Amino acid sequence: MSELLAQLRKLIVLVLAVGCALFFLLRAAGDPAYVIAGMNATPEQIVAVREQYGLDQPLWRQFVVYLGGLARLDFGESISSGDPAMALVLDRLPHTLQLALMAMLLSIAVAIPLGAWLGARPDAPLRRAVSGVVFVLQGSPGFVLALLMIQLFAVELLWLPSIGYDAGDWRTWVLPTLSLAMFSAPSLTRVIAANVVEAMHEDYVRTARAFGASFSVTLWRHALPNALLGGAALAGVQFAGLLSGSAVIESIYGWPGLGSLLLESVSTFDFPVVQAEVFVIALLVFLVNASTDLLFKRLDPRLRDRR
Amino acid sequence: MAVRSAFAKAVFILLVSVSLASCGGDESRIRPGLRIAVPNIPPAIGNPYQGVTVPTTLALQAIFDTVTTVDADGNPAPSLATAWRQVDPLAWEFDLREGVRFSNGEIFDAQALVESAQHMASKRGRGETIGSMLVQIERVEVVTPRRVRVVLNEPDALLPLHVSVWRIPAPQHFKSLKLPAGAREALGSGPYMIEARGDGRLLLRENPQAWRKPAIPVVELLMIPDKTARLQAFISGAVDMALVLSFDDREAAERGRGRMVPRLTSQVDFLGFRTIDNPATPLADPRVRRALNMAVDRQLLTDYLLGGATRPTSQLAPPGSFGFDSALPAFPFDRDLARRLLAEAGYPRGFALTMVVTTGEVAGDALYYQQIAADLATIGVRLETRSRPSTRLLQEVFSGNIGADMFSWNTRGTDPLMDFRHRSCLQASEARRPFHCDPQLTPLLQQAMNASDESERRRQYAAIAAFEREHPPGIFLWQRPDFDVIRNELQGYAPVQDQLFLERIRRTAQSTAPAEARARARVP
Repeated sequence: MSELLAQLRKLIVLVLAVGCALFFLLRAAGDPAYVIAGMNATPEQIVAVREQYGLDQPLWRQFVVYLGGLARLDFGESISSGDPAMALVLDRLPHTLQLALMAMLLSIAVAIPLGAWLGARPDAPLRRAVSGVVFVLQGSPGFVLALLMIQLFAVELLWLPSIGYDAGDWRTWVLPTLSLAMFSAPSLTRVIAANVVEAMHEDYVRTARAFGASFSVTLWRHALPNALLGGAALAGVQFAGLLSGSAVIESIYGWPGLGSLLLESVSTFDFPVVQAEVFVIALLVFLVNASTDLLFKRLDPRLRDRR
Repeated sequence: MAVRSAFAKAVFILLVSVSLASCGGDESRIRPGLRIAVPNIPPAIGNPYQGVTVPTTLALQAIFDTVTTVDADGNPAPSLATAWRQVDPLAWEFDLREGVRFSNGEIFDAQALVESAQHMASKRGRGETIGSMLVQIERVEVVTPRRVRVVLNEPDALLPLHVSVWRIPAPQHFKSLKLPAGAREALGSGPYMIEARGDGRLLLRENPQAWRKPAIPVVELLMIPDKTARLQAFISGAVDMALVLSFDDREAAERGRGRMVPRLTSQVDFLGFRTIDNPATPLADPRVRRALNMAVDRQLLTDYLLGGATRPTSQLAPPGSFGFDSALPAFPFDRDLARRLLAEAGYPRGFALTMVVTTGEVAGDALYYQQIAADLATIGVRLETRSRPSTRLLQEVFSGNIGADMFSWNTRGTDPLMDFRHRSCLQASEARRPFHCDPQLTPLLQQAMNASDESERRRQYAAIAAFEREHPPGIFLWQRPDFDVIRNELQGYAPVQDQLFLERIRRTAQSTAPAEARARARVP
């Protein structure tokens, strides 16, 4: 219970800090009245837009109004569409969550066996070659891989559609999921492989071998579970990163998620939507990190005992 | 064993997720006969009072009818209004088309214009794009059910042209909507109506009541913000058209059984000179400004980077807009003359300038800014170029805090008067400060603004354009082209600036059936 309260306190501080920083950063970025009114705006129109959105008010008053809204989780209406900003964000949230979850699961499904295989005998020639490929993939920008995959699977081979999102057709999920997974899987694989290498030289592994356990058993039953601890921490961070950093992939695939909404709202200075979206993302990242902490304690008996 | 079990669980969850993701699709969804990839689908799309540029206009023009339209020569043409006349300097009468119904069955008559004008005159309406463009309209009066009188608060000799952006929604239905968000649910009398929206898509279905009958009954717009991804979607057969690509994409589009259609927008690109709050700038001298215009080989740039789709210009009204003077010659590319002009102005060895630009607005723009800097260097003008996001540049220019001598800019619209004013001494408000002010231009502008006769105003515009050629407010570039790609079997796509006429697009008899084409590409 005390741990939960501590997390809650952290969350409140986080929300306030992010909210305040965002308010002032966005105001420092520019006057949205110019963008809303457009290039042909008359001075009268710019003044009218400022009045309409309360931008003519002193900054401190705007801030007080904003804080009041924040307390009620009311970020106001989107400047672009007039919809409640939070509703727009919540409308896009499931698409990003689904995509990030699929990509993360795929990453884990690939990284665990591949990392274990690479880490078990790291000096074998084939594994060194595969390690090299993983290393290159880790350094490749996600958007380049995404465009290459579209070129190969959608343009040349015509196997998959180049654009999402269609809930009724699993094929629209393949390339966006692969693209995001290719961003997270290589680093996860390398961390697991490095941890397996380390674990395979630990005393408990030698002991297990001395007691007659086969190489396979020592790898899968003794070394890998320990190696996964570091992987679990990284996976949590990566999942949080996927939630907030999928904008480019969403843009390439026309995926109607949070990332593409963020790009749109930033480019149009749609303050309420940006604020609502960053708030939701910060909340999600916090929840993912808190869950990772809890999972970590569950996986690692040493951390459990520390309580 | 525990790890294997966990791994098996992960795979199981992945499979379940895939299955869940695949569920919930509406299998009975209408299949579009035409799919178009567009850079964005703004959330407000559907609000008749917002948006005057592509791709917003693509949908709005399909859903709503405007009071008038603009023909290829830039003149007003009939739409909901079939005829018009100026009855006095502050009033025009419009005859309205008979037999028009909105998609919900409401009858279009004079009252629809009255109520639409009332909305535009409201505080909310004035903050919307169309209301802010038609501030001269004070009210609309019903003369007969088929004739209205538009009363103005200042003379407007070009009102029939200006109301070409005025889209009319079904009045009773519009009144029932909860604004502002509800405005996008407005119903019109255009050839299409919105069938569904969301998930980055907008599905349009034929409006059975429409007087502009569409050739293709169902059209879908798909939002693909990334330009390369739009091209790939076209080549792969996922879409039949892709808007706003670059000239470089032509060969790829042709390999994908398509063709490229250049579309000249209503914008003219130029590099503005900041002469206000810029003491001792060489740009204060008109000879220097002319010299810079003559030093840039714009023909080379339009030929090689823009595929010859546009031509260099020496005026800031686009061809096809009211007031464009086709007789006004473009600046010659003449570096010797440019050097002589600089020497006459007292700068025989040139000088240094700074320029802020927005790159990525038009494909290849970074390249032509580099080439312009290289051209200017040949006459001794050393140009340092810095990049800015478009929103930042907009703010800097409007607030008069441009941290450079030159900046990338463009004019827009069918009537250049507004742009003339923005770069003149008449624009003295703190809310939008001018970047250039030539006192000699002021009386010409005032005469143009007060001209109540269309031909007189045309003469005044020509005089202003001639003056600006001799006293250029920037380096004139060209009418901005956009490049769209379209499947070979589609005909009838002939955009006029930002009007795309979706209803005129049709498939030829020999065309590949869309279902077959998409089956080949395995498109959902």
